[in-house]
Amino acid sequence: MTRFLRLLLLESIALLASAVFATLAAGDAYATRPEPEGFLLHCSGCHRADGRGIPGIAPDLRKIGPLLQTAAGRAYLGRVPGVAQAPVGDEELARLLNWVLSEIAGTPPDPLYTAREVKALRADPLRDPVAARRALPTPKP
Amino acid sequence: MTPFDSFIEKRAREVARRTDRRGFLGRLGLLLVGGSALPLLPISRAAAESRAEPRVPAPSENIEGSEGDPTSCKYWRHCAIDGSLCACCGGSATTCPPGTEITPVTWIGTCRNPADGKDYLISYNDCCGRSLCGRCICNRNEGERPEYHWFRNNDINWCAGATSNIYNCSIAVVVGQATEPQPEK
Repeated sequence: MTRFLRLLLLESIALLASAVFATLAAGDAYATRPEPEGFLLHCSGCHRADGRGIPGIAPDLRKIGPLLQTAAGRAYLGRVPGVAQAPVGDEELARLLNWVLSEIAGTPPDPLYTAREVKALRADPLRDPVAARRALPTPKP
Repeated sequence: MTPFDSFIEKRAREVARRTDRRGFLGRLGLLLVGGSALPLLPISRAAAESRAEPRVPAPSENIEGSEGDPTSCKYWRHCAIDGSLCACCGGSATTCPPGTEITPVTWIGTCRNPADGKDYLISYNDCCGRSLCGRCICNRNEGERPEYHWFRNNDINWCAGATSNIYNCSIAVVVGQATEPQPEK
């Protein structure tokens, strides 16, 4: 193999490795979707386009704001199945959760959920969401 | 007169003695008047209401290019549908047939429109309250997930969210444009 060909091969390998690394580092492959669109795609099927939900099937998202008043309630919102299992990355999920609470419930979280916080919460999903909800001090609206 | 002719004559006279011409006219009149009164029955009014007010938002985008055939399984909006196409059952690709009720609960995914190359958010709503239509059965599952990932599964009877659990057919409504295809694709 000539020196030139060896160099070309090495460069190709380096280029491929950097491309793979960039893809892995990006993590959230779909983090650019705007929140209103993400809400329509991932949430509105059950919670409806305006978030009012369906009695007995999906809760009214306009009334979930009071859950933020306690640490347990705030954690519940990140661990509940519809949130924890949503097919989106941590960064997009944090943005989506903040958007729903700000725009639909009218209560922006303080502080806002971060990707790091959401990652930890969804790593510990609720096994029995109904019992967990009953255990919260905030009554169901 | 042949025996055959006399037999026919005898039978004809018997029939004429037993029946009257006005009776037939009376029954025909009853049928016509009764038939016109049918739309006053509640079930017919419900059908007319669902025809007048689809209760489904119209496509929010001006979609360019050829729309395609909504009665075809290959129609672009049907990329993940599973069931009878409502366009073949008295409804359309976006409206339920008369006398059926649209589910409030639905599953939403994306389909790419080949006419403009864009992805759209599609809401797959079931129409419920009448027995299975059975026409134009279509089973396409692009981006579908197993039942444990239920919010993107089309084997579930989504009529569970309606007044009646009886499935009739499915519609595919464009609820917006997507910047990207759904993550499962």
